[in-house]
Amino acid sequence: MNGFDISNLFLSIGQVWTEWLLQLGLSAGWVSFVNKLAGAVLVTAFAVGTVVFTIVGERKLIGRIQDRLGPNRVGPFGLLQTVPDVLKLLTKEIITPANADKVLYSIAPMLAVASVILIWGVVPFANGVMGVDLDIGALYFVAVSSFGTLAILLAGWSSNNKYALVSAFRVVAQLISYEVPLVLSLLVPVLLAGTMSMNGIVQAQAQGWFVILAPISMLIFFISSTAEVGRSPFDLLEADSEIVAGYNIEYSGMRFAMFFLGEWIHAFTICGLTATLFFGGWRGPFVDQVPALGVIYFLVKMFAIYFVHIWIRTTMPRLRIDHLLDFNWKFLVPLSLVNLIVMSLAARLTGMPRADAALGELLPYWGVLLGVNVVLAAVTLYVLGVVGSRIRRRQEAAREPEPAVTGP
Amino acid sequence: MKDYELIGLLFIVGLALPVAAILAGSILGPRKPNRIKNDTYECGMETFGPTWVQFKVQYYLFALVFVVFDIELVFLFPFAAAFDKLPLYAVVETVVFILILAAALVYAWKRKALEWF
Amino acid sequence: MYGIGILKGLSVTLKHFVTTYLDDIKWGFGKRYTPEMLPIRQSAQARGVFTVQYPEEVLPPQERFRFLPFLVYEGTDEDREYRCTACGICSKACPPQCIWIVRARDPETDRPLKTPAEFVVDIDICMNCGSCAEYCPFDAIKMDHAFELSDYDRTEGHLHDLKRLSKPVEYYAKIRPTYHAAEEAKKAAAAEAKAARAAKRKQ
Repeated sequence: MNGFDISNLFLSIGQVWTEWLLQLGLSAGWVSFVNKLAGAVLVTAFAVGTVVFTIVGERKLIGRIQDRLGPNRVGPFGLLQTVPDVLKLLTKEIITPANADKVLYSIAPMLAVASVILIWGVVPFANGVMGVDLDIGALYFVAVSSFGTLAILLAGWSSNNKYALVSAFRVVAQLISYEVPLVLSLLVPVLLAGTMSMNGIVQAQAQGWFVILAPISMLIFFISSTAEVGRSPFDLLEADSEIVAGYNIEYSGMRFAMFFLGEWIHAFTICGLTATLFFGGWRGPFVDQVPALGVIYFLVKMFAIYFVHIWIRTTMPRLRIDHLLDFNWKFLVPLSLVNLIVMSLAARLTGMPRADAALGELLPYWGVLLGVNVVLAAVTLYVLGVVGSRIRRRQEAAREPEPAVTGP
Repeated sequence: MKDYELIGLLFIVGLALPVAAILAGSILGPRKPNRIKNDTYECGMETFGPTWVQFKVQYYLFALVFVVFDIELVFLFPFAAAFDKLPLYAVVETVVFILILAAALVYAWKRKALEWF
Repeated sequence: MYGIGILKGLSVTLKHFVTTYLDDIKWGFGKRYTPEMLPIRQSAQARGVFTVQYPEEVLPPQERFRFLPFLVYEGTDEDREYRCTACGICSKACPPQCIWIVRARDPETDRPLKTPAEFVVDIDICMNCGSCAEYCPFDAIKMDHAFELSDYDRTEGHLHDLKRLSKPVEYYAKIRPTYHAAEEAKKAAAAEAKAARAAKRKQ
């Protein structure tokens, strides 16, 4: 056993673990299998364990924003609030409606959880500390995240309930629509890094986080990922005040809990992805000397972005569905198409710097990309202003004059 | 293919977790179904007519437009991944490709497929 | 336009978020509704968390707050002298008719006495309107402040009898000092006028 390297804590633990397994007399194939199984279990445990605290954390933050305290009874500062919640859901009856499509109805909650846990397979926690460094990581994320859409669609359809059905159609309209700008903006980091591997994308950000190089893509990704998670202002899927709870209206007990779990895991998963793709993932000071720090940097970035998500969630009211779709198809999609074209041309024309480029060589590259983004943003805002005022003028012209107020 | 073993295991673990949770729930929870409880829940009203009916076609149009873009995106990923090796003319070709699909969006827009009536 | 409204909204919520913590630091973490803090907490300058942690912290009710009637008695706890004369006006005035009165009778002569033998209020029916207290000509029935009346028994436990309803006049003076003072002043003035009239007649 070579020296235990505290600076690279997680990989060292992995090595010690593997050696211990080999000493037990397992064959190399079995060791690899056990390692992978352990990895899968660890990733799942991380996702589920984090949810236990993000639920409390989110409720407390929302409480503070609304001048309330939030949960503070169970455990210190209410940190264990989720435990009684889960216990309550465990002891509830699992109801299957008589009219439901029973097979699809019972499959949907399982898919909802599995799809979000699958995303964590490719998210790098630190350099090399990740489920598996797929060379098509970004594409894998796109593929797996549409699983979740499918789960919600199945749930809404199979419940045989009109509210759930409306919700299922809204899924079609919203989640599917917002996937287009999501993926189009996801292409930009892939393009700048020249690889689809998540770890590769993080490594490529040694020369500067992509949020500096491509802020517009970051914003589009952020907005459409909020929509993908289905949180306010994009919570049309489960708008409580309109369609009661949307797709999960007929679910009860643990089945309902699974949707809830999937949704909450998805919420911070998407933040982890934003951190990975645009905010340098595990990159931070001294991370090259002490790789274990990467995990901390990654988690800090993830939760910082998560805070912004919560913050927006508590601030914005729900959008109307036609506004939502107009915003996507008439603003985000054209903008992200233009953004992709402009970014690819700009990056090709300036020439990508080498991995070991000095700061002097990097500055023009940064300057050009950032400048292009600023110009694009300015043009977008100008066009928005012109179109917006034209529409407003047309509406005002079309509006009937208000009837004159006559005396009694 | 070795990389995908972990993904497969992750899928199994990810499915096993909800399966175990739902099983535990069904063991621990009561099971007393009755006709009213298993009825469709519509805020106390009796459900009216079949649920699976023809619905607003607009949702379907959005799904169709999405399919166009999704296929486009699959083509764009290899382009993005190989970007640092591509010469300028290849990039321009891709731009033309994106523009052709943008024309599809413009067409759908002009044909009022993106309007919500 | 241009998303400035969104940023404005975000800044408002962030301000609230930060202020709650600043306020906690300012007051020191701990109870939020101590008697010293109460005037500030309930003023227009109040900032930060507004939650009242109910069982631990209870806001003092306003003097005018009314919840369930009670019977005022004078004298000590052992020797209760009810102001109530069992006239029954309150039970007639009560809109939901939740008051039940039985007049006491002299055990020897069986003549009615000016005091109640039974006085029952069904608190499930009472709607806290305060009509009984308004109509009572003897200031014998008053509205209470006690609202924590949860009970494990919802039949007998919700029928408040004479023993449970009656409270000393000192209690009334404590929960409604201005009302009590006004009534006492009125009574004193009436007594004075009566004495003056009596003195006049004697002359």
